[in-house]
Amino acid sequence: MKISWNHLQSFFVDKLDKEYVLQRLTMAGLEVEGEESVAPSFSGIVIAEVVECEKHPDADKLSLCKVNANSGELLQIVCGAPNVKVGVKVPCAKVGAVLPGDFKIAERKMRGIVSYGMLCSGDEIGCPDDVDGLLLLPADAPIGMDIREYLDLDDVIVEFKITPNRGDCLSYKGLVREIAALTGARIKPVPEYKSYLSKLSTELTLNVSASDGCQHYVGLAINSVKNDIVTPTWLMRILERSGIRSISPLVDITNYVMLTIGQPMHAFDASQLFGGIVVRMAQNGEQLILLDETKATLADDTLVITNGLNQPVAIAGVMGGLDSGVTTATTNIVLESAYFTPDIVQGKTRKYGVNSDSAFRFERGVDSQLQHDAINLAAQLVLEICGGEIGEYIHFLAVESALPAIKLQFSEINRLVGEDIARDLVCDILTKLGCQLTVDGDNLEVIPPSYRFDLRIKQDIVEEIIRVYGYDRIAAKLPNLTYTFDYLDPKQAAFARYKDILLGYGFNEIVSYAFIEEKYAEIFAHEVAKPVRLQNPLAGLSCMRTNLLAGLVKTLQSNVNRGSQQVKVFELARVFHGEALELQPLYLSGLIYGKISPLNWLEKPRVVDFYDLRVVLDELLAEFPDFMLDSSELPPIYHPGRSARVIVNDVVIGCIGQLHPKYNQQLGLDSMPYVFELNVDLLSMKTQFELRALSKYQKVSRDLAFVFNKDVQVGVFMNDINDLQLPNLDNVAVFDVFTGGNLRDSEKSVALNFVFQGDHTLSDDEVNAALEQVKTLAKNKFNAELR
Amino acid sequence: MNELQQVLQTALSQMQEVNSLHELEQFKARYVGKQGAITAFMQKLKDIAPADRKAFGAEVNQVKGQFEVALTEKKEHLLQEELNNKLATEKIDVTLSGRDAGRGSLHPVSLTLNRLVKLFAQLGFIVADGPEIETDYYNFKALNIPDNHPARAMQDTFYTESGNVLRTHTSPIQVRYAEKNTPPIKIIAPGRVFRVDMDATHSPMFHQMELLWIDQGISFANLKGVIIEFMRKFFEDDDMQVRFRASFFPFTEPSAEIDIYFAKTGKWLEVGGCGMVHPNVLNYMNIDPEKYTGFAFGFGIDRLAMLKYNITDLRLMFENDLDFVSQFKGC
Repeated sequence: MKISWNHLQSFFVDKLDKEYVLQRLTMAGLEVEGEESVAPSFSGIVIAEVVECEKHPDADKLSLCKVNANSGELLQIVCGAPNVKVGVKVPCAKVGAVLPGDFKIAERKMRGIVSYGMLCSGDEIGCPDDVDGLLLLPADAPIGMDIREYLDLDDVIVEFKITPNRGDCLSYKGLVREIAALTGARIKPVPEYKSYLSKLSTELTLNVSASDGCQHYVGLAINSVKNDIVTPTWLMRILERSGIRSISPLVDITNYVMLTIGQPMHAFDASQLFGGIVVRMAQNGEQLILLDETKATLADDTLVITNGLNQPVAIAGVMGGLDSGVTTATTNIVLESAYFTPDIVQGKTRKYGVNSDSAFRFERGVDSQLQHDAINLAAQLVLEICGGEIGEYIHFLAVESALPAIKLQFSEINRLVGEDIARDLVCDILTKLGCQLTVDGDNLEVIPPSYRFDLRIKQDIVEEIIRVYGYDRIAAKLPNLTYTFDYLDPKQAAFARYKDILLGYGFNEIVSYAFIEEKYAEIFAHEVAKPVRLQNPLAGLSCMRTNLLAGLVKTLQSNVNRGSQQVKVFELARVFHGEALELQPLYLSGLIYGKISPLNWLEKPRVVDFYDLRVVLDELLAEFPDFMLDSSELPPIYHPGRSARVIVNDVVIGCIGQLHPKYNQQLGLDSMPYVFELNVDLLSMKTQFELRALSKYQKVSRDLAFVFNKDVQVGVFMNDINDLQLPNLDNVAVFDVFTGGNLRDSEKSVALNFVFQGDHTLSDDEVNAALEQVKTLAKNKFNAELR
Repeated sequence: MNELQQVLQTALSQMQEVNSLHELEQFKARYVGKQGAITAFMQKLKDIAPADRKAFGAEVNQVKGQFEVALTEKKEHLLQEELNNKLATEKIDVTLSGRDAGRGSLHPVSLTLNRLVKLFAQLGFIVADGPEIETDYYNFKALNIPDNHPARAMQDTFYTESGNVLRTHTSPIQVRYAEKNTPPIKIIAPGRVFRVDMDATHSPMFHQMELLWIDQGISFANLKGVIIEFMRKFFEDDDMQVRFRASFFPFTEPSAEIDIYFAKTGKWLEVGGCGMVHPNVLNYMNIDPEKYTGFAFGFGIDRLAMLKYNITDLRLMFENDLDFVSQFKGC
């Protein structure tokens, strides 16, 4: 909400200290968002009348003027504006004046003739207008008066951020009340409004069928008004400085009343009401063209005003219809001042896609006692500005429901605040805020004023007390502290370990958006889950990711574009396989690409391969040494020959491998990165740690080399060896894989090292017996011979 | 000088010419080996008259002893020299860089989060978590934000096609946690949150942390105590000024915005919101508001990370430029 500081000041007896008042308001919950002077700084510009004007003898486009600036003698001024002529009143910067931008006016020769000043356009004094040339002032503008004073330019527009609970502060009256309560500043007495509601209507009928949403409705006919005139400057200025555009005198008056006391109003062209006003719920599908020319198709949760022909003429509290609105030709009007409940107005601007200062106020709440004041103030201004005669009025009032009293105890206030605030002070604060109090010992009963409809429960009252008392005056106190040991659950603790492993391997952590473009959602599609889509995405990020690959790949792309030769990144984040809690698992995913290490002097860095990532997986899954890699049933994004699904205890928990090269063009990559992804939610199956007994006996090391068919996966053979549960076998490792030489093209040689260790010195027979089992396995299952 | 002494003098002088351990062994043999010059005197012993034999024997032994002491010294000297030579040949340029890429770094958000978790763990808080696609109930209704309430406009919300929301704050976690636990409740709930807003100072996804403490007798003064203590510890400034401004959040009453003062810029900066948990919210949590009170505190982790690490552009936080991320290696 924007206000003119000078106008706000005019409601007070005393001069306010602006800085103090704004600071106090900010601290009490009415945050000042910004301050802006209405005009830049300049001085020495006064109102002058052009009394002579002829062409400059030596310049076509210049005029030679004599102006009266009330400075004793006429000033000779050379002017280049096209609209200068005898009789106009314009701002005149006299010699010595300083224009915005610290531009000093001095005597100056222009084409041989001395100019003693400068006539100014609106732009030149920081008041831009549509006129090409000088700022033309009204004929009654007093000659010689400083233009700053005349146009009230020493004013500041203050913008407040009014929180949704403080609808009562969306008017000058509300802010004035608040400032008075907070600072004690005295308000000028406001005379009671004269009542113009004297004759109940016989011609215009009123029927309120939806009294839940419309609890008070007042209409007043005013006839023979003139709306084809210019709104008075003072009114226009207040509107403009309060952020409201001037439309026509009648509309401006209703907006002025809203700004002044907080009651939104509407003016109907009486000729379009056809003798009646009905306030009812809309029927589904009813049409109404609104004032801003929005075509609204109404729904039955919407309260409407209809005319005597049962046609909607306004969405109650939101916006009037185009046809029934006032125009410059309008002569007979009906002013509306009503109390629509927040419930009935809330959500309607969004629903119908309109902006409305009226709805903004109604949905936050309007004082239910304001309607008569508003219509009387408006009527008075219409008579003053547009003339006309007061006609009949219509009126509806549902059963008045007073705000209920709030009961609490002084002791309770102190307990909630954590500090003793003196009872007198509590009562003083609440009284200043307009509450009625009943005190009985420790008990306090508070009846808030009608405009503080936000005060409902005792916590609201506590907030009011300390807000005015000052949050900063309450001493901070640490509560008794309790302790906890396991502040992370085992899963959360594991995350730190995973990250540490990855950091050790040189991976950098990234954070990427949870939503991705449709294109990436398609490339990185989940086998089963369809991506969750957003109704209102930003920048085309319309799909919730089902895995973390898109973020990693986008990071890769942007870093490669910036010249990175080596990319190792990971992310730990939720992915979305649906919208239920259990369908939002946490994934850990990493990517390696390019050189294994930065350029260095020791060796030429080689390009990363599968096994650079495989070792990382081994470390991450150290807790599950029996995990399996299965290269069947791969998601299509993976290279079929260089990828695998990761299986722990028969559960697929992720994938590892190279991205499929068929996507290189789409992803703009010349070579495809290696990635892994793990559903770490599935890894929370904590295994019991068991320490293996150590042996002091000698280890026995033996090597065996087998010739396998090339397609045999060594890991499968290794798992089978593991399944043999050979006695005393301590470790098996592959130390050579060889193709070529005297092997056939379909063959590969795999050399394994076996280490045995027992609880006694092992005999050759024992070791050989074990190795025989391995050979038998190799022969029988893989048709592999010793090399 | 007798013959024996002359042999010793010759030996000692020749020893100085020896330059290697190998030569030294040969040299040693020449004097104390089987046919050695000094050994020869021992063999002469039997030819000496019995009366002089003892004195002669003693002299030979003494000479032999002197020779061996000198030999040992020489040997040590040569060993040292040999080692020095070896070391000289092994010399490398230690100023050259090491092998491999070295360690990666955490994202500043994680670094900040780790710090926050540690700080609050010491105050006895545990970490709670929740989903990022939320229901209207947990994101709004149970937090006392009814349908169509203007308070909803305070947070521009992403909606899924089925009508759920991307959580606009981490506050839903407090309700989910409180449904399953009974007071006293002391949790922090960090996580990603989403708002329909994207410009130089807003990201549609960012990180928040929510703090909730519900127990008997928790007061507004306690809220101030915990938050001021936290801010000062986080920014490692025990004199940091923290101020509380009245504000409005549907889920707390009274509510406050928290500003911290930066002496460097001379400005107050808003860092979070807080308040006493609204009784309606306690009711949704099945906690008796007449018996228990509590406070909640929410703030942006990215904001704190930026302040902590002097990051001036929010967009850097989500661009994942490795030149940016890798700078946090030492943090």
